[in-house]
Amino acid sequence: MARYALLKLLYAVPTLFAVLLLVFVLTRVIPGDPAQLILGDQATPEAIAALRTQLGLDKSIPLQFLDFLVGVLHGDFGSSIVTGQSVVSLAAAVLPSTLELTVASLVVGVVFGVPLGAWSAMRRNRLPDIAVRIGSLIGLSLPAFVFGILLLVVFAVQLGWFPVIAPSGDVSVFEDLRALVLPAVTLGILMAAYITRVTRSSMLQVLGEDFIRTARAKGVPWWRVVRRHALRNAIIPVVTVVGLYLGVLIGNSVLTEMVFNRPGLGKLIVGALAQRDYPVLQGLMVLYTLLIILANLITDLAYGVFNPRVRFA
Amino acid sequence: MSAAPETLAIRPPAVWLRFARALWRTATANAAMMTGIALFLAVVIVAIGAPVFAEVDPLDQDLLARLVPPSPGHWLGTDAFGRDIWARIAYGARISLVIGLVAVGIAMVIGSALGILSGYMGGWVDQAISQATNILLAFPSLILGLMVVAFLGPSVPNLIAAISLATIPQFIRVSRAPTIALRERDFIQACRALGFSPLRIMVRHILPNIWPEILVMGSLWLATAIRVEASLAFIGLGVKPPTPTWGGMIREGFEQILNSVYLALFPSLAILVVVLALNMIGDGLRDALDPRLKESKR
Repeated sequence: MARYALLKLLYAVPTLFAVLLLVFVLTRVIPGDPAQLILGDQATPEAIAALRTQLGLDKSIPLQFLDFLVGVLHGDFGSSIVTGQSVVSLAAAVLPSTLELTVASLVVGVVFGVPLGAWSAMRRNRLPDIAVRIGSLIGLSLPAFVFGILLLVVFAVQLGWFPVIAPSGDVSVFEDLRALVLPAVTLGILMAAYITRVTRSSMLQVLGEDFIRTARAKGVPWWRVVRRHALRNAIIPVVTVVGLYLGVLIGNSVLTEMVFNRPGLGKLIVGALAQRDYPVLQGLMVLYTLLIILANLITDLAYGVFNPRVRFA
Repeated sequence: MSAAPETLAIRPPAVWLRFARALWRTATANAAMMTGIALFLAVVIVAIGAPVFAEVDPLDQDLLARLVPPSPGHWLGTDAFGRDIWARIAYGARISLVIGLVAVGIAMVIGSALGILSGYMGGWVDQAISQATNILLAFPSLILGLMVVAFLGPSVPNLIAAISLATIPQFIRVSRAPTIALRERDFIQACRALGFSPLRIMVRHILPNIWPEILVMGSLWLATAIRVEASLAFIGLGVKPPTPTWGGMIREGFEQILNSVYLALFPSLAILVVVLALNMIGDGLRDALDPRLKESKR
């Protein structure tokens, strides 16, 4: 298992390098001089030249890339030109909320998606199946922010069951969880829609297999066939999809955090965008890359757990 | 499959014809797909004929009629500047459709060309293209789009570039695998034996056989492209105001949500209709494709 993990980790290195290159190139093609952007129109040429030296912009492009790489390897992702705080400390402060949201919505997605998908497959072309299929299609057609706004208006503004804005600072666990419900459902619906569709098609395939008929024929109760024989096999493709959409989830958390005004990486990105805080944007992209690579790694490992055949490959 | 030359002459049209027939059968038998096609066509017609369907200019402000609820004068009400929401949705459809169609069109051409090249050539060409694809695939399209637009600036060409970049790897992936399978088939071997150039084989003999898969991917990714464009506009990275975009309208509507729900509601419904319609078409296309795949596997 450890060897398998290490191998997967090694595969991630070229990916990481390529993304770093992409981020670097993107930040260098911004029209205008970063030093000029940071200091504004009123800055003297001397001040701009001094800042260029300080930022290392007077070096050649390959050298700048090397500086950038070395910085990233040392955990230095740059610092904000607005507040002067390092990107790492900015991100560390909000990372728990983003992770909390992602994990919670993943749970919502699995808890609703797997049973609905299995149920739909077992009642193929009957009313429950049709209802579930239409529901999941709508679920994956709605952008996260649309669903978020809908939930916010109905359950927070109209009914007042949940807070409109997430409480910050020291709050009880209960309050924290209460504020998490709507954002987690918003993101979870998207996940549930994907999981339902995959579980359904995977389940349909497994239910048509010979060993299901054999199990039935030898007198195994139906619910046990479903749980022990069908679902266990049907779940393998679901794990892949969950992993594949973990990235989508991280992406859509940006929108969810905006709608619910939750602290998190998404809010940080939007704030940096509004203030044209390019170093923070650059650092956050590197961080997102790391998160996504990590998510892919976890998926690969989870796949090994659910499907023992993979481990020996 | 051994009579290569005759098969060559009839194969491409036969695949087309079979696919077209399967498509027709599915479309007429599949109510969901019919609904999807009808809805999507309706949106396209509204977008093209926006000046006819909405008599008011989408940029005309009427400060005496701000935040008006749906009424005979303004079917869907007005926004905070007194602009007609229906007119803005109709004109906004143009932005969504143009960005989506052009971005996915570009991605489809570049992606399938690279995918076929990668699958057919193999070797280092395949290695290089596959590696680049895997890297881009690791990124959710929204994050990739956000990165590109944040730095290049929000404009129609930049949005198209960003969404294409995020979509190209999908088309590479979907065209590479079947190309590899086809490469070893007798009729392609026969082409090679006849001395056809690789370009001719790829364009005339491989492309017609994998075209249906690419088309299915196209309709599904058009849905995603429109959703990503709306999401970027919602974040504030869409085509600049006052140009109406659905995502931008929802953003403005969200700011006014306590004063009027309609501002955010109607553009949301517009996005839902288009994306749902495209997903229905994509699902239907895939169903049409499935029996064909089973047939050729035998």
